[in-house]
Amino acid sequence: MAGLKIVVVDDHELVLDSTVTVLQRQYPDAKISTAQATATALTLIEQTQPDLVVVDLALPEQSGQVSRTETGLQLLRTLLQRFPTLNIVVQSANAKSLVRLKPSINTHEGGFTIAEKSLPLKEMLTKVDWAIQGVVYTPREMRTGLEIKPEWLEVLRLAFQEGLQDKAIAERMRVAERTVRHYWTQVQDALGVYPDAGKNNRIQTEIRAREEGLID
Amino acid sequence: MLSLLLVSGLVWLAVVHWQTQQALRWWFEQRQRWLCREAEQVRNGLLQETFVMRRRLELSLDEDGVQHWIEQMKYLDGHLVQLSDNLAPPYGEVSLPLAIRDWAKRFEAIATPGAQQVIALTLPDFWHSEPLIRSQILLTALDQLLHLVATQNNADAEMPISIELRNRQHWGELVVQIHYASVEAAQQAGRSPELKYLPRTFQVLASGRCSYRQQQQTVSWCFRWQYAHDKV
Repeated sequence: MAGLKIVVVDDHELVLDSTVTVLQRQYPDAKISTAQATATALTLIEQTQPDLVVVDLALPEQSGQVSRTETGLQLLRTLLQRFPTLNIVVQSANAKSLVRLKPSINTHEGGFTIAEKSLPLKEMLTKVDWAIQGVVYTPREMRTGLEIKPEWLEVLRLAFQEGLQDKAIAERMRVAERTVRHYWTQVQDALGVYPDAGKNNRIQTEIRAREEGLID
Repeated sequence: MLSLLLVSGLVWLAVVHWQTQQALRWWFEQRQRWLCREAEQVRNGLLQETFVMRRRLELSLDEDGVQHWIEQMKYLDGHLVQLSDNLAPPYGEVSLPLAIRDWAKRFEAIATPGAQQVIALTLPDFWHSEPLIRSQILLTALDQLLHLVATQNNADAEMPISIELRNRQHWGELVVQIHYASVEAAQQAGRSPELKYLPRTFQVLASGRCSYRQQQQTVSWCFRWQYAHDKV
């Protein structure tokens, strides 16, 4: 992927090195920058405007300070607020604490995936690829008690009952086409539908939506 | 004179009881903080090391030769994640239902080998914010109760367990129902001295109530506590 700009944020130098090596091998033309604390990460992201940020949760505010999950969560909160279309991969050994940011993640318009540090290399790269594609992937616990917003239901109804395409759906709902795409990624995450080779994502969404009784 | 002595004695007993309760709560809180620090050490230390080692193995050129070691690292990693979650259960400060769900998943995985632990959960999707310490007390009580029950149980006997979290107007209620294989087994479980400590401990630490009731083969434990304004 030519011209891809990636920022990797992790307080452990060796973790940072491993992650950069893996990403550079997968995306040889990508320009990868790194940061080990939230203050430098924020400056770097503002300066480079990356396509993707791979970020840990346990981080110090400044280099040399103690790493805390709360500090990493605060960085993520800021990123979700300031960069609504930024693609983010959270790579952490304690990703469960992300549940605290659930409302902000739900409204984020960029890709957002979670890669536990215990994931094998191949699966971690899949999560990176999904984030670059704009997919939202959150752990099952964060999707407990299927929460479907009325606008997502409207998208499902217009697409699968009236057969409309995104452009027509956007016109009917009086929103931007980008917003409709955002609704798709959110509803697909809620239904547990993710890119799968050989399968049509929209058809999978329709099947799952019918299973859950969201459309007749 | 006698009544004055009696009143003084009662006041003294109440003060001693209150001081003991405060001391025990302090002790529990310190212990929980220590466990959280230990869990952080695992997450921010050991798990980072295993991550680096695994990635190096995965990136090595001779992938077939290292596959065995990758599997070993995966196994070690899984145990470390479980250890850190046991030390400091996730979600405690965010959502009690999520914390119970996560705890139940781990309990089912590590319950006494051979025992068929099946936990049916009825948990609301939404729950008001609980102080972290109360969630920790409830999870500890739940864990102690079911580990004691699992230890008593005949390894081959099926023992369905159901847990329900109920939202009452001014208090929360956690009901644990254990269905024993026979009435005798249920009666015997009730005679365990260790299980008799549980209501008292819960009362002291959480300022709540814990009651126990047996009906045929089913034993119900009910934990009740007041919401927000009361101090834990």
